[in-house]
Amino acid sequence: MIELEDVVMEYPGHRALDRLRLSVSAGRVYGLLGPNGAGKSTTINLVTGLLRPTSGSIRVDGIDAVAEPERARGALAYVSESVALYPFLSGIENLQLFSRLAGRHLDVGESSACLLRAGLQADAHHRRIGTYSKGMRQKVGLAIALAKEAKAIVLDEPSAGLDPSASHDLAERVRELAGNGLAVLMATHDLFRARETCDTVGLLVRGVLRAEWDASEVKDRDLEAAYLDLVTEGASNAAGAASA
Amino acid sequence: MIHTLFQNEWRALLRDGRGIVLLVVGALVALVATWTSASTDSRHDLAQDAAMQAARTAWNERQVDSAHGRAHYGDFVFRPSGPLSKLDSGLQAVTGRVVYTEAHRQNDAVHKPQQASASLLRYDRLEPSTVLQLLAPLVLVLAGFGIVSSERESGRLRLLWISGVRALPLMVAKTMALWTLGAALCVLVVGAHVLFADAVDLGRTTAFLAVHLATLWIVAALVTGASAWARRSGTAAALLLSLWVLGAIVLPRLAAMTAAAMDPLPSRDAFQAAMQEDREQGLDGHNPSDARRLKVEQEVLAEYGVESRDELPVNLGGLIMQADEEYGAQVWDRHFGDLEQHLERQYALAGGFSFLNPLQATNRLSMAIAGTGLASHLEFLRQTEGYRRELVRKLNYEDAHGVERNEEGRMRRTTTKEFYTSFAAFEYEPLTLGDLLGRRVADQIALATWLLGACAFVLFTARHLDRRGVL
Repeated sequence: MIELEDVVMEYPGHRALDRLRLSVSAGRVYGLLGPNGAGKSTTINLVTGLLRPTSGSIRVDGIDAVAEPERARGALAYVSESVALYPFLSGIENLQLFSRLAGRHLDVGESSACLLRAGLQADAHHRRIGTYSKGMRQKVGLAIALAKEAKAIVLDEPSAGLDPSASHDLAERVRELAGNGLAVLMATHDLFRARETCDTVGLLVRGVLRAEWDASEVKDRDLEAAYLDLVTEGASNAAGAASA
Repeated sequence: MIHTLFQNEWRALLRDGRGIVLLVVGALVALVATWTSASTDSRHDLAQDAAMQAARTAWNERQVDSAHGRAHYGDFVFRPSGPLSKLDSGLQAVTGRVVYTEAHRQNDAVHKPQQASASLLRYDRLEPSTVLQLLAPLVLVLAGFGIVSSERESGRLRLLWISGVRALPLMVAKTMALWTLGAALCVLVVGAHVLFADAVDLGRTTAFLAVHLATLWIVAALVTGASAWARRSGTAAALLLSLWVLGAIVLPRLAAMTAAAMDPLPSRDAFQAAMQEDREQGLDGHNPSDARRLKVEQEVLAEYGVESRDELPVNLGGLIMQADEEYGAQVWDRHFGDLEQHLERQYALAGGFSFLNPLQATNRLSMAIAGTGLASHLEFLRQTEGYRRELVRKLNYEDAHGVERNEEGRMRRTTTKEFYTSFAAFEYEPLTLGDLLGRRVADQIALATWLLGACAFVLFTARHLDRRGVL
């Protein structure tokens, strides 16, 4: 699971996150929504250990990610908007490489099985990544997470730039991962996909978690209207604070 | 982990069009350089062997003339090509390998290859050392400027990081991959030399290889480090190409110009005028009225207990010539000794730049190991002068003592053809590798410092990446 408690992240003259608390249990998908500059990327960088928080605690699978970032990363997988793989390697070779770096040796059969589980068609396994679509690259990213046997996975704008079919396919895969017991933290702008995929949706505005709805609340509510209300309110508050 | 990352880098190099192009072009240039250098050197050696034979035959076949006449006829002294001159011809293009030796005069080398060259540039001749010291670093820059920065730009660095890769193994693996690319060129060049060479000096070849492998490690570490620090691959490329221009072109010239400005050598004319001035205070064997010559004559007459030179059992001219020669040798020793010290001082001053530029340290060590550097040239001049003195001494002795008087008291020469054919041709004894490296300690320290510095740079950069650089 992924847990953030009272996480503060400050840059010179700017507080990017203010006492952020969120928790993603095993088998759950948490969608982190928010406008640009809300602090979603900072949150992801903190969870993946690329940044150290100014204060607060972050735990991944029970491991203190601030004190033991390497151990915490061992339990974590990451899929970015545009999964950056080696274009001169095939899907299988990329999977084998990243798995080996994570300490797992997969033979061709195991790698193929992993890619199939992630939804990548067998005829693409031996083609170079340079020929893959964005959706196919993301499936390899998911396969890397599966092969790593990670306990938690962080997805950064996974559906951005995907066509509806690929986006739907990805959402199904993400649900499958959660069904396998992974805790999934997904930063996204895609309200529709968040509603379809997530068990919990958090709305981050200017570094503050303004709202958190569970799946039943999300399904019943007009998410877009609520999003716009809170984002506009956050902007007005900030403007008021600045003028005061 | 290092092994996996290293393998992946090589896979990238081989599958990436740029890597293949650099490897193929680099290997072709290396082979062409080795082959042309070997064939040029071999042609030169053959021509020199023929010239040596011709000079020896001319000496032996010449009519039996007076020893004094033979001293003025002189002899050509040839320096064999250095043990590794096919790899690095060093200063030989400028210093030359042939000296005309004669009585009373210490001559400069003649038939210098540079005189026949259209260019005075260092890059006039494509040879293995040029490939290893200039082109191989450029290949590493072109192959490696994006080795870390492109990982960051594409987002792979983040994925690697989350996969459990630490910065130090990553930096070491990438540096090693880049280095092995340079090392492959290096081994190719030296391997081809071993194949083409008639005889291989294992010690020197190993030292040559070691110095260049160390230099390429330094370059690989700098390239990887710079690529890790740069936010963009373009920035890394611009920085590294600028450093290459600085190290390969600007600093070597600046070093030579600085040394020449700080401790200027006398001009050739000034040097010879000073020699001439001192020489004139000696005695002129060709001028009978010279007062100093009369003094020597008096001493010889006294030694033989006779009143006039007509009663002497020896040829006074030969003894005076030798006395003049010995005085000339003293003058030469003083002036040439000063000049030699001056050259070494200037060379040491320029050597200070080796601490700023590892390519310069490599260049100087490479020439030293190849036996084509300044120390080897000065040693050649010393041995040439030794040979000249012994030649002239023997000829003067023969001129003085190879005579007899007939019944009328007239002097007659007894010199035979065998006397002249008994002269052994000049044989150059090259300085040993130990001698040569002993004279280039500062350059070795500079290279070792760079090597340690490069390793420290990799460590420091890895720490930087571990902290924040991955973003």
